[in-house]
Amino acid sequence: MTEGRKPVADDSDPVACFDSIYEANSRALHAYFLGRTSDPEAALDLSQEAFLRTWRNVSKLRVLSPERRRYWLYAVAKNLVADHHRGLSSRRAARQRASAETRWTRDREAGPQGALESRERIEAVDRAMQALPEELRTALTVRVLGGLSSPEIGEALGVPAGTIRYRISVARRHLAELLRLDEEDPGG
Amino acid sequence: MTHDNPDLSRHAEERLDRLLAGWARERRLSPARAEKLRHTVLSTSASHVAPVDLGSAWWRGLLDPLVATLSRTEAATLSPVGPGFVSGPASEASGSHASEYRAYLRLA
Repeated sequence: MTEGRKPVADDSDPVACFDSIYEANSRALHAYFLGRTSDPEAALDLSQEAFLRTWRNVSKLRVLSPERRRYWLYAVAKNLVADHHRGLSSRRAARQRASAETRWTRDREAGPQGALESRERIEAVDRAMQALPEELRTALTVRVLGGLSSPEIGEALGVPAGTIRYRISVARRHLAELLRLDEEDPGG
Repeated sequence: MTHDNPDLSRHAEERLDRLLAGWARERRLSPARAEKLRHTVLSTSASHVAPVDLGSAWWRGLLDPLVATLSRTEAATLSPVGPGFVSGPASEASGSHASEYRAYLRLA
């Protein structure tokens, strides 16, 4: 999923350079946007905008190392999310958070979910994810959906790898609690 | 991605891993969606990107129609670019070469 240490040889071709950046970062960046917004539609829109900016700046990016490109990309992504939160969609996000909190309470009262069908399980994870604090959700989402390691996430976000590991661990603990996984342990 | 989380039992860790794996398969950016997104980006913004180096043939293709147009009106409208470049490189410029050279200088 991640690039090597040096830009690929054909980076003088703008499309090849863009493809190299896109291949290395599209999945993780989409995961980042999904983690930050909890909104699949917004995650796609923001991914598109981030890569439009990448394409417009490809002649500058081609001289950077893969690590610097990723750092640049996530700096753009942070700004896009800030704009998103400030914009009209922030009201929708607020409604989603309130709705998620309501569902969290309802789910905790509903009991074990071991018998749920696959679709319901996925939706249950969706709801639990939405109920997580944003920075915990983002770290876990980029790890699980994006496939980046803690050092890679930390490098992209400008956060120590140990902090990312801690966030992921706490996020998992919260998820297990929200999904009541421990209560279904057949061993007791 | 099982973690050694002291607050979770092994059973809970394993169940969480399975749930997250299923969730990831459903929610991550699929190859088809990624390709569609890539196509959208490249097709909607192609005109905004300056090519790094597309070769002499590409530049000739870009300039030739313009040069031809300018050359047709060159005699009537173009004035010398400067005292030292009235007809381009003196030893080689002649006929259509000279007018193309002046047109190029105007573009530059």
